[in-house]
Amino acid sequence: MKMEILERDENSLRLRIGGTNAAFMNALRRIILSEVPSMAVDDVVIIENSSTIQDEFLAHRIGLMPLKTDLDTYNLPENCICKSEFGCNLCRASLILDVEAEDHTITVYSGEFKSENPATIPVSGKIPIVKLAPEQKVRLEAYARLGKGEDHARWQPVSMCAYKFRPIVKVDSKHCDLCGACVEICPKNVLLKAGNKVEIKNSDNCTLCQDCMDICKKTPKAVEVVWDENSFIFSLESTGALSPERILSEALNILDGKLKDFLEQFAGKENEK
Amino acid sequence: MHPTHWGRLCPNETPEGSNCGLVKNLALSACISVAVNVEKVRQVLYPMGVTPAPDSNRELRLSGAKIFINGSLIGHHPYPSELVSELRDRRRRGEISSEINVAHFKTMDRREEIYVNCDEGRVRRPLIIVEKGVSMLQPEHVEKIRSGEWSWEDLVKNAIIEYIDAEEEENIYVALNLDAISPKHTHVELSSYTILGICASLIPYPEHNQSPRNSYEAAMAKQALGVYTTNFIYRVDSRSHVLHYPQISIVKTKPMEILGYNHRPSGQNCVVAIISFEGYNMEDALVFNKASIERGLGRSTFFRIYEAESRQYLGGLKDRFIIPEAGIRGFRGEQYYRLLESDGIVSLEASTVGGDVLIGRISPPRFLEEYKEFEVKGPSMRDTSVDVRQSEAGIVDDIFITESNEGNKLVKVRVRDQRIPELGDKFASRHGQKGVIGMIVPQEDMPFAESGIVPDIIVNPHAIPSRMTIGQFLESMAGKMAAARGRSADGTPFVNEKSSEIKQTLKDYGFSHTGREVFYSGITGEKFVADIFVGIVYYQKLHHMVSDKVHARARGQVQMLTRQPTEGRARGGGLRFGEMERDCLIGHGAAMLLRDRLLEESDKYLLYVCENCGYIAYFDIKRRAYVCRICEDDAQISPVVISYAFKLLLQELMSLCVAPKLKLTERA
Amino acid sequence: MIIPVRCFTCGKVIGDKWEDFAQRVKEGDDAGKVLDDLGLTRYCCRRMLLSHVEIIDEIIKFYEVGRKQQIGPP
Repeated sequence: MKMEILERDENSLRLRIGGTNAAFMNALRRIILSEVPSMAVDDVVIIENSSTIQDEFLAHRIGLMPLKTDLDTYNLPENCICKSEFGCNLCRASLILDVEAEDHTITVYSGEFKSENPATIPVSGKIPIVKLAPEQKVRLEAYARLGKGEDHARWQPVSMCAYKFRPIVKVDSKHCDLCGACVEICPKNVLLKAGNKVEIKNSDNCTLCQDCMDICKKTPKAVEVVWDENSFIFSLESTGALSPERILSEALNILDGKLKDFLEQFAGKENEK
Repeated sequence: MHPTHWGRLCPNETPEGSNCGLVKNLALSACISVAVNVEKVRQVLYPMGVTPAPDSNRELRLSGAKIFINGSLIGHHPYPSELVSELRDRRRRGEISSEINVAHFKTMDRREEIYVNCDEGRVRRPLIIVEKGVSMLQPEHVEKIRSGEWSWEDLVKNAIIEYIDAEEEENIYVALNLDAISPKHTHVELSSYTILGICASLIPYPEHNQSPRNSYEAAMAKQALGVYTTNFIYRVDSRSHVLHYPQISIVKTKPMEILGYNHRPSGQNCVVAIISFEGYNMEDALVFNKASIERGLGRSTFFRIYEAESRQYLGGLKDRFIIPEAGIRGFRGEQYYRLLESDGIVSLEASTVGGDVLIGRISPPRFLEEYKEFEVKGPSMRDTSVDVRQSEAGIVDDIFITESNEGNKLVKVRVRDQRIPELGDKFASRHGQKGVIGMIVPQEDMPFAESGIVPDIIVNPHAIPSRMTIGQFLESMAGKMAAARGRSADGTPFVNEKSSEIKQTLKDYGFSHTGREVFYSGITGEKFVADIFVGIVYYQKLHHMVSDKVHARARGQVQMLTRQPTEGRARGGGLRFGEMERDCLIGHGAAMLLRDRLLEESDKYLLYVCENCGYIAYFDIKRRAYVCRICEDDAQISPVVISYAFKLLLQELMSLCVAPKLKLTERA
Repeated sequence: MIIPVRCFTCGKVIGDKWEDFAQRVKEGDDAGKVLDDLGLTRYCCRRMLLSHVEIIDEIIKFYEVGRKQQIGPP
C-alpha cells in the first residue's frame, strides 16, 4: 500500500492511497460513518422551558451539537464497568444550561452550556440553540454519552467521508483534431489547450464524469478517462469532535479488532475439531 | 377553458373528479367588480348623445347603434365608435368610475351594439395601456412605486393600467410582453405568469411539465406542511401541523415574493437522486436517508385541541370539572385519571396515550326519570370526561381556561405530538410527483459521491417517462446551480433561467453540465456504471401521515343494530370483507373460510324457529322452556345459526306486515 | 423556524455560521462569496443557509408583545 497526504488541516484530511481495493476502502468508510464513537447528548432532563420551542425540539437540537470527545477517558455505556442505566463518570458527562432572558430577547448559544468536564464542551460555542423572549427561561441538564453513528446520526464523527477511484486521463494526440470541445466541456478544467495539443493538468481533480469522451466526435476517442481500481483519493472531514487522524486510526483499530476476533473464533473452532 | 378565461381564471388549478372544471380559481391579477350605480352611468350616457329608446326615431333605430347598460337596452346613438372612445377616455381621465367597461360589437351583417357594463361579479384583469406602440408604464413610474411614492391605485388613476372585463377584451389587442408591442397593440400584459393562480404559480418551470401534473401539484400544494401562522402558540385550531425547519425553495418563482411564500414556506430543499434502490422505491415510493431524518429533515409537530364545557341544565343542575370517583356511572378505572390535577384538568407537559383523561367532568343524568327507577338516593352523576383519542398520543402542550358564549366554564387542552418521518409518510415535489416513504436507509448504505454528498431522497426513474415532468429535472439542476453559486435560481413560469444558462453555470462551478455525478455504491463500494442524476429539489411534507392511518383489529366493538363489527379507525372498526373478496373465496371454493369471515367472526346468532309455523320462537328463561307464541303446545322448536342481520331483516319485514316463514329441513 | 444545527444531508455544523452569513448578506455581500468564506463547499450545506428563514423571530414577537399586555404565559 502506498500513501500520500494531499491535504491536511485541523478538521479535514485528503489522502492518496494506492495498492488496495474498493472493498477495503469502503469498509473503512463505513466504519468511520457508523462505528467510530463520539460524544453527543442523548438524554435531556428539562426542568423548565418556557421558550417558544417545544421540549423535544430543543432536545433534538442539543443532541445534534457536536461535543469535543475524549475517547481515552470515556467508555461506551454498554462496555462501562458501572453497568448502570443511568451511567457513571466514566461513561457520561453532564452539561447544564440555565438561562433566562431578562428584559430583552436573547439567543442562547451552545457556548452557554456548563460542563462538569471542561474537556467535554461543544465544538463550536456559536450554535444558536434557542431564542428567548423577555422573561422566558430554559433550565435543563443534558447527559452526553459516547455512541455510534449506526444508532443515531448525532454520533457520526464526520460530516463527510468519501473516496474516488484515481482518475487516469489520456489524450491521444494522433487522433485529436484540436476541436477544443473536450477542454470546453470539462467542469474541473483538467484538460488544457496548449499550442497544438491538448494537455492534462491536475488529473486528480477529474470527477470521472466522462463528458469529454461523450463530446469527442472522433472514433476511437481522442480523449479517454479511465480509473485505477486499486488506487483511491480518500477524503474525510471531521465535525470537530475528534481529529481526523484519530478518526482514521480509531476506525482501523475497530476493523483490526473485528478481524482479530474473527481469527480467534476461527482458531477456537479449529481446535474443537 | 374558454378564451375569455385568459388571465382571469387559473388554467391549472381545478379539482380532479366530479368537480373538475366546475370549481375554479382566480388568476393572480384578476379581481371581481363591485357594481357602480346604473343611474349614474345612464346620466353620463344621455348627455353624450344617446337617445333614450322610447324617444329614438325609426331612422336612428335602423342606422344607429344599440346601447346597453348591464345587458338592457337604454337607447341608440348615431356615432358608436366616437362614443366608445370618448367613454374610455373619460374612464382613463377618472371622470367616470374605473369599474365601468365598454364593449363595442361590430359584426358584418348586424347593427352595431355597445355594451356598457357596471354590474358586480365581472372578473376583470389589469393591463398596461399601450398607445402608438409605446407602453404607458415607463421606468420613472416603476421608480415611483419602488420608492413608495406611488401605490397601485396611482397607476390606475394615471391611466397607466386599466382593468378590462371579458367583454371589453374583445375590442383590445394585447401584446404578450414589452418586446412584442407593435403600433397595432392597445395593451400589454403585466407579465405572462399572471394567467396562473396562486398554487400553480408556485411551480417552477411549469411550462416544461405535462399539464395535468401542474393541476395535481396545484391541488397538493394546499396539503403541504409549513408554519401556517406565527401565533400558533396562542391558537386553538382543532387540528394543526407545524414543520420544524421550513425552507424557502432554492428555485423560486416571482409570484412567491408577492404572495409572501418566502416568509412562510412549506417545504424543504432535498438532495434528490434518481436511481432505483433495492426495489424499495418502486411504484412512487421514496427512499430516505436515515441520517437526514435524524438531523431534522421533515420533522413536524401535530397539535390537537380537546375541549370540554361545563353546561347548565334545567333545574339548576350543571357539569363539574373534577376527578371522577369510583362508583360514578361510566367510571373508566383509576389509571385513566392519573394525570389529572385537583381541578380535574391534566398537568402541563404530561405524556398521554389514547384513552387517558385530559379533562375530568361529571354530568347530571340525562333524564330525571333515569334514576327514579332505582332505589339510589339523589342524582347519580355520569362520567363525561374528555379523553385522548384512541390511536393517538401526545404531550399536553398548553391549557386554555375561558368562558363560552353562554357564560359556562370552557376548558381547551392542546396536545402535541412530534412527527418524525417514518415508513409510509407522504411527500411530494412541486411537479405532481407524490410518493410515500418506502425505506429509510442508514447513511453508510446510501450511494455517495466523491464530494461526500449522499442523497436525502432517492426517487425511482420510472416516475418520470410516463408523466413527463421535465420541470423537475430543470428544478433539480437549477437547484444545484443555485446552491453552488449562492443565489437562488429563477424558475418563474414562462420567464425563467433557461436550461442552457443552467448548464453553463453548473459547468462553471465544477459540475457536469448534464446534472449527473459519479456515484459509488455505499454497500459494495464500487463505482456505478452509469452516472446518477442528482440535484436539489423542493419537497413538501403532506399532512397524510401513517400514524394517523395505521389500523388493525383482532376483536372489538360491534354495532348495536346489526351486531356486525363497527366501521372506521376512530371506532376501532374492522376491515371490510367486501363483495369482491367474497367472490374470490367462492371462486376458490373456500367455503369454511367464507363462513368464518361472514358469520363466525361477524354477527353469528342462534335463532329459535318453530318448524310448525315457520316463525321466530324464543327460550323463556323463567319457564325454562322454548316458546312459540303462535303454536303454543303444537310448537316444534329448533335452533338455527344465522346472521344477526338476517334476523333483523325478518323482523323488519314483520314490521311492514310481511310474514316471512322459515322452512327447516335436515342438513343433507 | 430556527437555523438547523447541522446540514441535513452531510451533518456539517452550519448553525454557528448562520448569524455571520445573515449579517454579511444583509450588508450587501454576495451570498456565494460569504458561503465560500465560511468554508461551505458542498451544495447541500450551502442550501441550508441560502434557503433558511428565521421564523422564530416572528413567533417571538407575540411573546414580546404579550408580556407588555400581560396576557402572555408567565
